Amino acid sequence: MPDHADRLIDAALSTYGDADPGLEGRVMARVAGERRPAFHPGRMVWAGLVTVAATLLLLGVFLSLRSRRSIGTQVFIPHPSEQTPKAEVRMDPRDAQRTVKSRGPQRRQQAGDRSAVAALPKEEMFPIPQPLSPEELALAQFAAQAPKAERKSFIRAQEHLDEPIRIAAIRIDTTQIPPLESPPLGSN
Amino acid sequence: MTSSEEAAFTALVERQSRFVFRVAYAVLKNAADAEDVVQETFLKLYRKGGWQNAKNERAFLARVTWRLAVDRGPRVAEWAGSSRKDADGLPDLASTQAGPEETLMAADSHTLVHSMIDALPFELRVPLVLSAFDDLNSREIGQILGVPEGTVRTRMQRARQLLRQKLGALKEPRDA
Repeated sequence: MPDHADRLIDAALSTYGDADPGLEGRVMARVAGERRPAFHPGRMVWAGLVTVAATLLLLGVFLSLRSRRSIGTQVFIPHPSEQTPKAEVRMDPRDAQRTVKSRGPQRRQQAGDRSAVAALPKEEMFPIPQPLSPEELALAQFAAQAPKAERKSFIRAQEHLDEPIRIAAIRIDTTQIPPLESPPLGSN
Repeated sequence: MTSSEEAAFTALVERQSRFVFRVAYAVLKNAADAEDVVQETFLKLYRKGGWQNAKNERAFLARVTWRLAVDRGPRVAEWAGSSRKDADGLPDLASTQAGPEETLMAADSHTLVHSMIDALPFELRVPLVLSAFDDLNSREIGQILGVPEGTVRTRMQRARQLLRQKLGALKEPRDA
């Protein structure tokens, strides 16, 4: 009997307090009723407006920074064949056109120093030294060794490089072939 | 609450709402009141959260449900308060709510035993019902009820003993 009673008790305990069907749905419906106020339309509109404003502000800051950087860092790289290479840096126009409001001699001096510094080109990139090509080497040797007259004529000839080449008419002189003298017989 | 948290909460409701109901029913012995406590329990969890970090999900839920159910009935709350002060003080085990004559009328044996469980004193009934869940051991039941682990075991044994006595008393008249 005790064994049977224990089994009966355990079986009854496993079904004791069983809920009616659909309990989960009723609980979720109640929770959904609680959830609704969180999605108030007015709050959603305000949240959307704040989001749009923040996005526009960030976009404006980003664009202004980007345009400022693109103006201030345009660099001209010199051609390697130039004899006196130097880097030209386009300056920020605001720096070049910066005007100084004078309030005193000391400030004026400081502002003058700043504008002088600002007027100098910023060499953010230095030209890379390139080795001379064979043609450039030959030209340098010619300039070092040839006499002055030849150098001048060479320079003059360089000035007329763009003109069409004039080729003189080809003249072929008739060749005079002397008659062959027959060798004496029996000499070989 | 994010969409993933909403999904996790829905899964929690589907997984544990029947367990919560049984805990509430063990305290209140009334289906309508128990369902109110179930909804109250999950609403509280939805508002305050914290269930994701619970080590033993069922023990955590049982504690929350127990407190809400106990607060619901003044008589139960009175006992719960006194039981925390004096865990060993048990009331008279005899109960007249479901006598042998009434229970003999029950055709289904489960219904018969259910009526006997309902007739058990509150402090014996709740540990017995909670012990039916494998996830909860005596120590966790003791933490939920606010009594020592040894007291939980004693009460579970007494509850079973009483049920066995009642079932034996039902059989004797048939055998006689």
